[in-house]
Amino acid sequence: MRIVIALALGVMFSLMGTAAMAQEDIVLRGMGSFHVGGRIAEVSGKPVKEIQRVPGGPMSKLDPNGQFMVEQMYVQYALPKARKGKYPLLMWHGGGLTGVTYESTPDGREGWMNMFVRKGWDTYVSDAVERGRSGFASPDVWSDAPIFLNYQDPYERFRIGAGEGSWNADPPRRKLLPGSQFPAEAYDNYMKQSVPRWLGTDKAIIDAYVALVDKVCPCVLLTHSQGGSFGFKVAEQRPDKIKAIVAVEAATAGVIANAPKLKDVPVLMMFGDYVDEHPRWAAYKKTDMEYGNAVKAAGGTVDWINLPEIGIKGNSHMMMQDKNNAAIADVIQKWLVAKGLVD
Amino acid sequence: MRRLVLTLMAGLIASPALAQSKEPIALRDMGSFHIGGRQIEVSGQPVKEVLFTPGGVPAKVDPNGTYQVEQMYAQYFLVQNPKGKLPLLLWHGGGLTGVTYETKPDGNPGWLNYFLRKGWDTYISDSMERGRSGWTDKFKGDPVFLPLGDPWERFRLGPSGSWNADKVKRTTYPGVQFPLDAYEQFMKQGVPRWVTTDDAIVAAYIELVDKVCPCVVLVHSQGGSFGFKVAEARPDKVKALIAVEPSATGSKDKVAALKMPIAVIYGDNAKEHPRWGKIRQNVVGYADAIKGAGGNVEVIDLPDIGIKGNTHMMMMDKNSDQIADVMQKWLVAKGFAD
Repeated sequence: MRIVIALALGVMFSLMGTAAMAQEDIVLRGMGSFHVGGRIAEVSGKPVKEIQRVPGGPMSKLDPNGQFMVEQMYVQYALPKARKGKYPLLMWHGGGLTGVTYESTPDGREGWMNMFVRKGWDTYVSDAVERGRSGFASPDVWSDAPIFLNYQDPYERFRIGAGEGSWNADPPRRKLLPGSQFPAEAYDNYMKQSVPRWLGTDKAIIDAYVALVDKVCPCVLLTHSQGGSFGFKVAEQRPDKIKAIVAVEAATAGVIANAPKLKDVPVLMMFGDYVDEHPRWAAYKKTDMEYGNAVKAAGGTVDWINLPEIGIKGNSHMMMQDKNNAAIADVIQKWLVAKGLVD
Repeated sequence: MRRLVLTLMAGLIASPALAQSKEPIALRDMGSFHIGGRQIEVSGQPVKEVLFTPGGVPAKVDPNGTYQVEQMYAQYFLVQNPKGKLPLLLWHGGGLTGVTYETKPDGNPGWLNYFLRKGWDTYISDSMERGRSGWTDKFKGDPVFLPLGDPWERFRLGPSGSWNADKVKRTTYPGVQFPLDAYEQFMKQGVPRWVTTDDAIVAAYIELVDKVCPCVVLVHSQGGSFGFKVAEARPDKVKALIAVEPSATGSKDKVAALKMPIAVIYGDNAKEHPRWGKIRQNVVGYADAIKGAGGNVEVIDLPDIGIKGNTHMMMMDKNSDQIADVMQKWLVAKGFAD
């Protein structure tokens, strides 16, 4: 099924001239995964339970006390045989999501993970602590409750629809932003990618990202949304190991007082369409700009790309899944080449 | 970096099976998707103001509305030169995710890479509620979190009383194949599980089978029960089933549907184990019922064919390739691979 779609897309793309590459094999000299970071937490004073792990199976005791492995992070990597990126490329997703952000798009097209592997980057896609394959800790360890997003929330907040009131349960009555590049017909599939998030776990998330950086870097970071804040904060701690940051719609940036630590780390800040019209994203952009200016004031390099200004219109907050995601990946690649990070 | 060096070193010092790991893996495609699930409505809850990022912009989050729940994540790797005649689906066990089949806790390649190198188009999923499938607070009951020591004895690294928080005081079965130094690393793969969600898990697996099969399904532990149940529901699409240490079965009154070849594999110290002995006996009874109805099941106890020391997590054991070889041979013998 998928193959038929891939072939059909391949035909369409080659007509459009972009995607002979979609039909080429991906040849990897290595692929795999690992967990990094984490700590052992102690729980005590809770009663022992007797549970049946499978219906029809025998009862077994479960002691909720003791030591638990918590706050580790999952990372999957694909290493192309023909490596061209000078450093590994680490892709960090945004809030309420996992590394799946960068895999196949909700409508089944190729995502940025495959695109950057095809461009010759050793690519590491992780699930932030608490999300996806990183697992999450019990309420005995993390006391606050996670939040869950309903269908309406990302549609209006991620600039797919035209702001508040644009969502409707009935698809024909949804108000998509004019010219939106988001594959709106696959919005249900996008919602299947979302996972719960906690609001009190930033430190644990950052600690695990630092452990990842210590393991696989020097490297280039490509971050999205909430991941932008983590990327800048990790770079402030490990400026010697981060060779560049591509921050896609960072929400928010790092700590202004630490911005000078990034003076030798080239930064690209990128925003999609309809940002200035959206009060929330306009505010994030302003925060990012203040941080970027602080990096520049310390002698650093910060480049800004507002996609509509270079003629790329209609991009949502989830631009790596938008229909023109290949064009945006090309913009990023061009910047990385210009910074001397590609052989 | 270190991982690569490890792989190369392993290639140099170890068996012919590992020598092949220096060859690149050529894929005609790789990707992922979510499947299944349903929408639920939540109403009557107060709107919250949420600060998503410290120093960020507060956002209103209305907990009412439509939610997506019970979907399942699957990732696929399609080889350049398929030798397996059908896709191979790898389903993990309880409290774990598809990571079970990826790189082993000691950093060596796992069964995913093994089967790709043998030419199988391979699909790895995270069962509904686990890993990248996401979860909801609308499941019945509370999730179960495994203490650090729990699998040590329950997964037969050591007998009863062998676990100790102090590494040097832990004991094991003689000749155990699990990479003991990587036990903590294994525990990083654990995720919470509910014990009330089997029907939704099976429903999502059936959707996966409807999307990508006919196929061969390889299941582990809790996944065993799901594999048997899905094979009962889709006997025309599950063309072969390998059940690695299944912890439960399907229904004895539905076995007449199961005419596909089935292999059941148990590791060492299972028959005598107070818990695994019972589980295995139950599965053998189910296998007998399948055979009684004209089906084709082989129960392979690894020690009986000279492969000793394997734990419940045999896909992570040091000799995991040797066990994969047993399965690959079985698949070839049954005509599913060239």
